[in-house]
Amino acid sequence: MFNFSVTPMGNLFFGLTVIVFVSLAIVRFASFGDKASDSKQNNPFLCLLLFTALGIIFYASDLITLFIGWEVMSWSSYFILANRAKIKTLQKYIIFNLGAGFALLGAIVLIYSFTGTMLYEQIDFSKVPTMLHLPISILLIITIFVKSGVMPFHHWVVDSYEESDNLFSAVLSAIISKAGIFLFILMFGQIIGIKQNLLFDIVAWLGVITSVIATFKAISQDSMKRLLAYSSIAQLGYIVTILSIFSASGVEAGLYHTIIHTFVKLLLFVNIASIIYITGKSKFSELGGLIYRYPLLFVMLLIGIISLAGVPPLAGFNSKFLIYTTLLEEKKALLLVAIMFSSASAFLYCFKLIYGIYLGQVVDDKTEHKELPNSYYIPQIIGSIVLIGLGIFPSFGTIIINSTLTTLGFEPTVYTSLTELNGGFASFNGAMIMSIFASIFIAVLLISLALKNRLQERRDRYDISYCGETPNPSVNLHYGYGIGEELRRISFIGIILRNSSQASWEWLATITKDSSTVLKQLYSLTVQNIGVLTLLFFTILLFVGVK
Amino acid sequence: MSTLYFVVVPLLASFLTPFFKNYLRYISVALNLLLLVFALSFMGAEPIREYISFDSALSISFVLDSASLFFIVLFLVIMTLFSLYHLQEKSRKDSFILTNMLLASVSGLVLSGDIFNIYIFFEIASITAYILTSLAKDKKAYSGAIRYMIIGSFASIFLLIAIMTIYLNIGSLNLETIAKEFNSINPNSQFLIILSLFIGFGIKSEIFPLNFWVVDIYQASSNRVNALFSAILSKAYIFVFFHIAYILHVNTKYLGFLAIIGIISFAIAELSALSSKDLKRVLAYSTLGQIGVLFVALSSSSVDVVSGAIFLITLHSITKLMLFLSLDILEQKFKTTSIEIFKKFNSLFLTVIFAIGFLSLLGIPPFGGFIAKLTILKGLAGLREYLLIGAILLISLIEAVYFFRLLGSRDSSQTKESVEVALLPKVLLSIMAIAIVYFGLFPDALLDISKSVATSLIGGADV
Repeated sequence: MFNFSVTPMGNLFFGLTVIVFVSLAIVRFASFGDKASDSKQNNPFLCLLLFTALGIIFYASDLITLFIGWEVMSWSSYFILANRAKIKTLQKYIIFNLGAGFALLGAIVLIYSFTGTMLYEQIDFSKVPTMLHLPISILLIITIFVKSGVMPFHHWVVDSYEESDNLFSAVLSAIISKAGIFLFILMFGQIIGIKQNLLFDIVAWLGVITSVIATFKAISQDSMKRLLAYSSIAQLGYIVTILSIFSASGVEAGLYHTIIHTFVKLLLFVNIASIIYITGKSKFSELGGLIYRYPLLFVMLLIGIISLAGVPPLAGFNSKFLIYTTLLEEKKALLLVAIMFSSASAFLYCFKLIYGIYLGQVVDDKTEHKELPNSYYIPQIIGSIVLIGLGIFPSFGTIIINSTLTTLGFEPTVYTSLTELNGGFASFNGAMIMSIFASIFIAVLLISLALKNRLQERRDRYDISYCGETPNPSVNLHYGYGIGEELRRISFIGIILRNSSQASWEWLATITKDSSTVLKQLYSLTVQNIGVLTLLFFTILLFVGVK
Repeated sequence: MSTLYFVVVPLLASFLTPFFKNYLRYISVALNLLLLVFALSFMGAEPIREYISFDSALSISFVLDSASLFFIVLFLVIMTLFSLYHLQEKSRKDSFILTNMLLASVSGLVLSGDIFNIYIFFEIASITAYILTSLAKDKKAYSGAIRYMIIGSFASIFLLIAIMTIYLNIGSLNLETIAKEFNSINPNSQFLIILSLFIGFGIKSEIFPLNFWVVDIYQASSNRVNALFSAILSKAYIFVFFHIAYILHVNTKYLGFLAIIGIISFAIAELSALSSKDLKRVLAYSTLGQIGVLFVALSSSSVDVVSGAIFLITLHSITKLMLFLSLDILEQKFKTTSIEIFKKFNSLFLTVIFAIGFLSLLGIPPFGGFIAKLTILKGLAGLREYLLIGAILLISLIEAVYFFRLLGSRDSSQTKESVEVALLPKVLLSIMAIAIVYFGLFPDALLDISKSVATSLIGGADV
């Protein structure tokens, strides 16, 4: 009943899944002896079930196997979330994700009814009448949007990421969000066959709008995990946008960014999890100045931040480069401007992340710091190595993606050497950039170490006076957590931040609940109800019978 | 080797009650197993027709074809599991007699080939149901039983009206004869017959707008009785209703009407379940919802969709039996069935059982309920009934809300009381859960059986 086949795209996504799950499993299960700060341990059976479900999704070769994997992924992650999340978050999670699943089922059933088969190779989409192309596409896009957190289907994402176990947030962000991307490429690329049309233009704009709004929401968050959650939404918005330009370079850029984002989020979430484990705190307002005690964690986060922002010399730039060149090739100027705006604004939350935790004033409350098990470093080291490696050898990613491109019927990207990334009409050499950067970095480091004692005087942070008052050590002078508060006062951005589409969904929920209370009356056995019902019933029957 | 044994043996066995007061539960298990083996021996055989005739127009006929055989096997399997569950308690005379009567009457209902025979077993089953409701012997149970009796009497009256009209117009009570003559009688009489049959069977089949009584009655009865009601009784009435509908070759506009009220029934039941605060009522609403889906599927006159309905009937019976028996275990511990107890029990086994049951009811892979729903949806897509597909999926989403709310409400921070489940219930519940998972992963055998049952059901009098 299940049909599987090994495909390059399946290998790519499942490879990412394996790396993420195995490294997180090492963290979770290698710290056996001590009671972790997540005192309720995740059930290993559920995690294994989730892993299997993801494997089923990525290696399925017929639509029903895909759907089975999809639903098992949804409910197994629900139960893993239920370990710690509040009921309202869980409800939002399951309604959106199951709704996405049922939309997928609707699309599958419709496709099957015309093509008569569920196997990917045998599906001939031309048998589906043109009238149904739009409904099927819309159903699939709803599924993809919910899973990828594109607005307005994103309301489940942030609370779920925040209230889940710290390591499970990494799984959610790194892998489960990519299931939607996989579905996008599979359905529209392989099964339906791409047509550039109005629908994809709308998808592109929704993706871009999502990334802009989510970026600004990320900047004003106080909780570390919520910031990363909004950042995930924003990054996935980029991927959805660039994938809706369904050309060879579009798909390549989208897949490259998928790979980079997986490793970046793995790195960042495990770093955050380490900080929460050590200090027990998860808000910027309670943290600061941890670089002095944990310089290695600082370096890891720095690598993650530079990649997230998408600047050279690290791997994040590769995918951004491909995105920009693709948009230029396709002459989508407005989309390009919007994405650049969003990328530039992303600097702000990247900076907030690193400044709020590691730099600035050391927070001086007397809580004990726990000792971090060494296994927490493993996912971070894996992420750092991949990001640095792909920064030096950017075309390595191209090699991996090329086999997927050929399966989809696109031209594989030409690459001249491993160190040079070709973006169509421009290219850059990763090794050269990295060596320039490294030499400047080492030069500056050496100079500042040599001139250490002569460059600055030691001053006390509290050596300031303000209106005649001098602050004492109990005053919090760390302004890192305040970044983003002033955003609400900027008129254009403030309007976006103040309003939300949440009210529309809540209206739907209220209507359903109210109708439930009303309809329940039908089932109470009072005399009036029976009388009314009988009257209604005979009226309907008369109406039907008279036909 | 007569099909009458299915009816007669349980009834006669009830006479053993005064002699074997303490061994009744073992006799019950043995009886059900014996009948099950007997039923399975008919598999693959040609359809059997038996007549007890006084006069050829008034003869009592029993027909055993693949559809009725399937239902008899299903009911016997459920009864066997049910009687095995009762091995852990003392033998009770009243439940022994009543379960035998129930078994005899539903077998008779399913086997009957003439309409008055159907009425007889309809009455026996109804009376058994009324008494079963009152088994708990408290005020709630008695008042529920009386209300059930009053409402059930309406059903019997309408069924009698239908039979009278049929006999006055056609002069025979045999279903196959009626089928031949039905289209030649006066259209007003036809409409009256169809309407009365609909009201009569509709009340008992728990379809909107005639199912207003169900939830309160389920609340008044004990959980085990509810298991029998939702797993056996309602399915028997539904089967007979559609059997008659297909044999009479009713106009497709009536079948379309049934589909519409089926989907309305599903919608209203699931919406009402959202704000329900009692687990018994939640399961009752869920039963009503699934019956709505069954009406939609069974009225489609297409073998694919009806085979999905048969699959759903099997899965639903097993799932509801499992869920009501688990609820019974919880009720024994907590003495109430309010939703709060779902947060308070600490038993990994019961959590998994409830999770499997709820997920299968929702139609979520990899459980059997998913295959049922998928078959029905695939068939409906083949019939181009897109609105029905959309409605079913949307309402299933609402169903998901309250089931997942139950499962997710088990907050680890609350102190929980642990519930010990004895070995026998554990084994039985595990068998049912494994069956649900098995039918989800390896559905082909049951799908083939469902297809042949569906062909036989729709084929009607052509056999």
